[in-house]
Amino acid sequence: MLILIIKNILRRKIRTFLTVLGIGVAIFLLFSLLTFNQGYKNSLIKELDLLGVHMLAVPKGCPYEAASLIVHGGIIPKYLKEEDLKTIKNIPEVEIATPIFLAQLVEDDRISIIYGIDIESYKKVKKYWKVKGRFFENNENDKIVIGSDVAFQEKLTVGDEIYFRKFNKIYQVVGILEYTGGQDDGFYFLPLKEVQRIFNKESLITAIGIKVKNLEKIEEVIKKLEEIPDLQVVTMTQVLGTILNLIGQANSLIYTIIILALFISSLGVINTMLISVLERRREIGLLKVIGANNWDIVKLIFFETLILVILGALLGIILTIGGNKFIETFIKEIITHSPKKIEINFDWKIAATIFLYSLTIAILASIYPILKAINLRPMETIRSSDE
Amino acid sequence: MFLFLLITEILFAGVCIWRDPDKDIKKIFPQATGYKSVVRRYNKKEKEIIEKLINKELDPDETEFTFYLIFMNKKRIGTVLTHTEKGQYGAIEVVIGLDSLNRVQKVLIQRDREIKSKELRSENFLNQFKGKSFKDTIEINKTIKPIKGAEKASKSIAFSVKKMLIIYEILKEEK
Repeated sequence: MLILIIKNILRRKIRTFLTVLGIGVAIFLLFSLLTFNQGYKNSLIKELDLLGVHMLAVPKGCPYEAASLIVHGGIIPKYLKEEDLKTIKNIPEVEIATPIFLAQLVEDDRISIIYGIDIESYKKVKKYWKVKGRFFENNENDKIVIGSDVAFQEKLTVGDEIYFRKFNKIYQVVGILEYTGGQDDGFYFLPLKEVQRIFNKESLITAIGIKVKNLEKIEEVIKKLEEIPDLQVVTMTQVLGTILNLIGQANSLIYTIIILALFISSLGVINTMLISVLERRREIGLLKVIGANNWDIVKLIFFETLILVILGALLGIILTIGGNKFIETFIKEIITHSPKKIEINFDWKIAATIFLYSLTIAILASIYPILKAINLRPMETIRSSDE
Repeated sequence: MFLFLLITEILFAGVCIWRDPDKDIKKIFPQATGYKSVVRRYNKKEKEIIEKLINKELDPDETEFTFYLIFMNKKRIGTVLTHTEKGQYGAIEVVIGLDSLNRVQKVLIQRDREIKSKELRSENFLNQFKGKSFKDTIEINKTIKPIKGAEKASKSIAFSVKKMLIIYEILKEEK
């Protein structure tokens, strides 16, 4: 029977190819989006984790935008005061409160993200940081630490000097961060006081990174923080939830299109199988005459459909493995708040789901052609074919 | 769409990219009507020759080079080469325009962090490279007068021009 099925599939090569391609492309789209979503979520969690704090205190405004800008680097036009930092440090449940002054330096067409930090407290939240060379001291106003991407692009090594034209000041590179995989790789880190001075924002802070002693007390800490005027708190869980929600909304539309594509490709399979049954009326009739029962005909049609669908699913999975990088590039272009690197890994659970789905298509798509085939009257089909 | 993604995805392997072709083409080849880029990779032998001629090892990220072929209608009128070299205070990105005989037509500084940036970008300094070919000596204090107080940056620019002329000469033919 298998030979009969394969022979029939090969007899209509172009039709088989087009049907398989239709299923393959639809499955490629579905599989890509599912694996991408999984990778996106994992990378976002990793990136927020790399920030090393449980929450951020930011000036009142849109807290999620502020948090995202702090993670990715951007300008927040409002500021907190150094007194706010003192107040936060006095909350007993707060383990670390680290001030951040974030600024963009625009020189010609180049945008550099400058991070002013209090190195002592910042090192505590960035425990995973490894540096080639050393960190600066808070009072070393002419020393800089740079991310690994910056060092690569600027061809800088420890001991080199970097000149910021806008401030007419030379800084010595005392440290280069080892690759973190996060946004830190693209930042310039300077002592907080120095960044406040060069941007004429003495005593002002863009955000305060907060780590609590006990995670169970986080709500209590938030309540106390929200009593501080002109300050609001955003936890990393909230940032994650909001960004994923935004992405989820965009994805709903894509899912709808993909489901439509899958539906259309399923219709393609039904169509192919139906034509196949109609073209082989005589063959089916003869099979019945020589003793094939309905169950044999069901198997013949079903396995043929199954092979087509499985070939399509395999093609879709192969396309996904090969095309993930392109999907990543494309989706990163259209989605903001994107992690620096999205780790997309082949997920067997998703692959299994796709196969299960393919099996369902095969069953559904073969029902009508099977019914048509088993209802054929052998003698009539042979006679009509002879005519 | 995927072809577009494929093209954008082609790694330039860290080698200097051409940031503003439209603006630079107007400055170097005002008569140009378009350009196309070709990517060349070197083999082991070519690498050895290049490194011997520039007297320095190629950077690890320099696995391939992009040459921009400049056209006036269908006629090829020149080539643009780009390179990033370490300066005194960070990287210096150089754009080199070659005429149809592969001689330097114009050199531009795309990006730099130098204190004497204005002087290094001046025609007085950059015009010294005009007419040079890969056979010529391009060396600071010999054929190129450096900018006072920016000797290291001047040397980096001169080296970029020399290096790219050599690389282009060796890799220009399609294999």
